[in-house]
Amino acid sequence: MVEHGDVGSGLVLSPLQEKALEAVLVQLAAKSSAALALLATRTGHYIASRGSRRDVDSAALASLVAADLAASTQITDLVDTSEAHTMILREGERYTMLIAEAGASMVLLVVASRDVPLGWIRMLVQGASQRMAEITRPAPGRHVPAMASVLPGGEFANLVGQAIDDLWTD
Amino acid sequence: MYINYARREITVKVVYYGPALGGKTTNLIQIHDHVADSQRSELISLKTAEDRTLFFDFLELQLGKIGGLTPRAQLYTVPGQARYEASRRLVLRGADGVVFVADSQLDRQEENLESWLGMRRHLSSYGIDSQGFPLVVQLNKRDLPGAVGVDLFRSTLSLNGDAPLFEAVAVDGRGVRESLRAIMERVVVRLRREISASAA
Repeated sequence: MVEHGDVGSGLVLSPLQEKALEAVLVQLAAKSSAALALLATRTGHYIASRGSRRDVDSAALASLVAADLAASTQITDLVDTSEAHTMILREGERYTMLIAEAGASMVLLVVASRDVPLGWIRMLVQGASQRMAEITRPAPGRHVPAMASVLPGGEFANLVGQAIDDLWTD
Repeated sequence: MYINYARREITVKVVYYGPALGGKTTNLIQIHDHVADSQRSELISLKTAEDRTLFFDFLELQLGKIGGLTPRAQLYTVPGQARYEASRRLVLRGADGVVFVADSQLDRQEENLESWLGMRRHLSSYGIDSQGFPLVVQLNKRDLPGAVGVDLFRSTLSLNGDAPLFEAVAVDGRGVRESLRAIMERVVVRLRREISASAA
């Protein structure tokens, strides 16, 4: 099975796309009274989050959310029940947690109090994930800035290497 | 790779791959211990009750501002034990580079080879030819008596000169920074090349 583009290629967000995604996330967090609504790439890179619980390690959380979805998707593949629009539900004593695909490139986590009706959260997450997928779907005429305008030239690799050395403490 | 134009952030994913008990997690522990709290995340480990990696370890490094950009490196390990093949493939998804951590002990060369071939198979399943892919080989546990010679190791894995090889004693931190630096440089060079190609 070949999944072209999964390795070595990733999500590139324009400022307009980022703004649109954040607007959806803000609306989702408000309507669901979410303790946390977090958006990450399917490969575990943190994009944005909203909600009252912002005191979490977002980088670590993004990696775990992506891994959870990847594992769940693999499980469904193995038992031959693979379907689009995967959503994972975890019901705790105090919180409901939903993890959902948001298009081909992103994953959405919502953590809300058990007081909030599950059906309501599910509906909000489905709507938000579909809008997010639409925002990042490649479309003719959709402007993505030239990547060359962002990444510095020749010396960048050396500077990154030097930055690694500078991080190191004995 | 994830690029956010508005924030001028670029995040890359590096996976430490290799046979069981080869020192992948030790690499991340050493990096965690040698980098200030303010420039890294916590080390996340999904372990079994026996303290072995179940799914992955994770650590993010923030490299500060470079050329107006804020690069980040997300470091993952894979579980080395044979039964976690499916998990290894999942962790490789989206990787921008790989550090292959091999074991120097003579009786572990078969495991090195199996893991190496497995990695190439998984990369291939994602449509990636490992020849052009950023890859660094770390030959770990060089302090152990009877460690295999570098030439023998190279021939066992049919390594050509493309992938740099670092001798390491990860438990003491030796070779850890050098491997990390080398893979990050290669990842950035490849990104630059892809960017130039897409702009042409």
